[in-house]
Amino acid sequence: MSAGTYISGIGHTALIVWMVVGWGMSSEPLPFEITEVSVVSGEDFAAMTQGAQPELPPSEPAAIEQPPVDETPPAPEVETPPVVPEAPAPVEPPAVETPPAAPDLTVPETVVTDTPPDVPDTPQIITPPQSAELGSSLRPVPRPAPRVAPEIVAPPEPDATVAPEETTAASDQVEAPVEETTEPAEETTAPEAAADQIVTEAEEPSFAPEISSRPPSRPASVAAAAQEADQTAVDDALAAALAGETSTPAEPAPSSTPTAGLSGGQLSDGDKSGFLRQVGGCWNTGALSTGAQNTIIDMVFDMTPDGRPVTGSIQLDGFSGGNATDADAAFQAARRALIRCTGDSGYDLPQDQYDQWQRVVLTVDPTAMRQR
Amino acid sequence: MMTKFMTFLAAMMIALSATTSAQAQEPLRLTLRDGVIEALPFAIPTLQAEVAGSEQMANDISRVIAEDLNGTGLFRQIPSSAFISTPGVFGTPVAFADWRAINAQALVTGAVAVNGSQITVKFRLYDVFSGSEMGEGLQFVGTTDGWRRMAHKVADVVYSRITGEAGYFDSRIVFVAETGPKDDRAKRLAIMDYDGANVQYLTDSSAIVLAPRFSPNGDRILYTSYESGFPRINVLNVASVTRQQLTTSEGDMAFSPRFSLDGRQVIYSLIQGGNTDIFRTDLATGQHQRLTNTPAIETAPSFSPDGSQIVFESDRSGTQQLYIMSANGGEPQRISFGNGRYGTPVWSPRGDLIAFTKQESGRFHIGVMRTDGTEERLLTSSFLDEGPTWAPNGRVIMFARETQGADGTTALYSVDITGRNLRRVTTPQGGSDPSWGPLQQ
Repeated sequence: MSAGTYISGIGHTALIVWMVVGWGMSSEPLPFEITEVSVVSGEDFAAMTQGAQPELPPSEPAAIEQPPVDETPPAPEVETPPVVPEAPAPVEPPAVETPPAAPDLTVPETVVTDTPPDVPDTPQIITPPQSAELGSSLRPVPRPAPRVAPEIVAPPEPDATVAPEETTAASDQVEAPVEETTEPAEETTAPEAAADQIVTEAEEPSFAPEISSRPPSRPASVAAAAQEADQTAVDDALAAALAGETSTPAEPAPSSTPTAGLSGGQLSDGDKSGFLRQVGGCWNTGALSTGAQNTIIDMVFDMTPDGRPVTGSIQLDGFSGGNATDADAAFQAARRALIRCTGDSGYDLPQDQYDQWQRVVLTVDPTAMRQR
Repeated sequence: MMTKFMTFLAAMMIALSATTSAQAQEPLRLTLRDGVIEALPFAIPTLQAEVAGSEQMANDISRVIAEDLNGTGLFRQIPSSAFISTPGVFGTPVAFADWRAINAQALVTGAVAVNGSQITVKFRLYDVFSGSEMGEGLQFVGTTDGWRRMAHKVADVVYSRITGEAGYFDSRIVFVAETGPKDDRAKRLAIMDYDGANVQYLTDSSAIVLAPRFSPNGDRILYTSYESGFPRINVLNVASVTRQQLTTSEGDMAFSPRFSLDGRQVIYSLIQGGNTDIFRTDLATGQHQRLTNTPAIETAPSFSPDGSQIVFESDRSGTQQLYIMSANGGEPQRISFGNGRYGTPVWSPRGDLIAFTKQESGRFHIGVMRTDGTEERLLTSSFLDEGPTWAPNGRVIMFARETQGADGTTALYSVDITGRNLRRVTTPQGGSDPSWGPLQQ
């Protein structure tokens, strides 16, 4: 056996002996209080605590004495009985020919004079200066300026990037002279801008139309125009032949049919729609008679170059679907709208095309409004 | 020399004319279809008191005019607190800019003078934005007792000039005033202004009265009375409040009467042998004429404005529907084909529409339709709406509405034929069976 085995055996034996003997592990007992008690029987305890208990009501409640009730209450001590209102007399049915009560139903007479009141005629109406508080103008915001640069702009320089390898810093050491090639200096110019105005995100222009343009009016029949042109050419050729002339066929004349739309000299659909939208904002059919709401009127008026209708020129040009009274009411409402929505600066119409809207025939059709 | 000059002048004029015509531009042609529907704002400053002591009357008349116009739903009064200025002496220039600034589109100015029992009201109406007067100024003269009528007349003129149709403010309503619970309800004939003012009773509550109807000129009233225990038709003279019973055969029961256009004839329903048909009686001669003769129940006849046709209700198809026939009788033509039951048809004074009561799915409606039955529109819906009557201008319908339950009450309501502006008419008690009279002369 090895020495280690002996040592281990001796050590474990000593440990076991020490644990069995408990040598050196004894300790003094902890101090504790001693209280003397006495044993009390349950009956004695009940007898002791009975005096402290509140008196409980008896298990069965005693009969409650009811207060004496007089079946015949004494009459109130009123020496004089209250005054009883007289019973309403029965209403007798009215006689056949005599009404029960003949209220005064005569309608007070009212005389209506056809002549105007004897008041002085209204003097000339003094048109006061336009008030600044005449309501907000309904003019649309100015059309945004074009944001596209007129010329192609070179793309910007790419951003600087960190080189993967470290380069040596320049030293004062003079290196071999390098032949300096001087390129002609370019003239420094400002960076090319994409637009000539600063545009924030908030006012970024939207190129979508605010309203859809109405379809342009159908042009005059192309076939008819062509046929007419052909007939003219034939007539010319016949006339020339009869006159003994030899001529080349005349070139077809350019079509004189106006192109209603956004190009050309005609007023654009956007301008027309904008004008109608402005007037329509003030055109109130709510106070029109049902007859007037079925009456379509034509209203003609002149415009000033600054987009204002000439009030005195507004006239009813014709109507359909109602009588004269209905037409007049419809005309008054339309005229009121036209004047009311003029605003402070007139209607938003292109001044360079004033000749296109110098005179306007406005057809006012409330029949669609009646359905709302 | 002179000839050359004249020739040159003529040539110049021709050239100028040609140039002008070449420069003449075709007018821009546009069509306006989209607008707004809203009440028209108007201003009516308190009418001036031209004579000392007229202030109260001026205030009252101004208030009634404004209430009339506001009540239509077509106008909206701008409160006086918004006024920038007040008009000066009646007839002096109007500061239109001040009224434009508060968006007043129409302006009514006027003056009142009370001299003893006589009262004079004069007024002018202005279109503020065009700065012009709408029509000429008018003045009314009457007695102080009739001050409300004068206010109504002013409002009628204002309404007419702006809308293009006649007004209806100076008119009266006859109706059945009801008091008490449903199972013991007292009913009396009553007459009042269109707005519920000046209620006066024509009968007592000793007998049940039903379905009063004004004559075309408003001088008489037809109604059904149960005074004898059976329904009988009476004709009541409004001025003298005397009445006369329409002669029918003994034991017959007559009800649902209505005047003809000339007021000389009455059409009504008559129950004979348990069958209900429509008859016509000449008030002068007392002659009767049967207009329908079927085993069905046919009642509620109403003349067309031209007197040539009659619309009525009948269950000859198995359910209550509306029919139109000649005023002399004949084969009727059914005009209602919708779901539910139709009744109490009334022809519009304009002749274009027929108002009716419709019962469908447990609800009652007041509606209108074209005379051929097309374009039916229901204007109201409630537990019980019935008995429509037209305003003299054919724009507004009044009817009776009853609430649900044993203690349900009846009341009068009015509604625009567009279905807007449903309003309750103020009456002292409950009301039913309204009949709108004509504009007073």
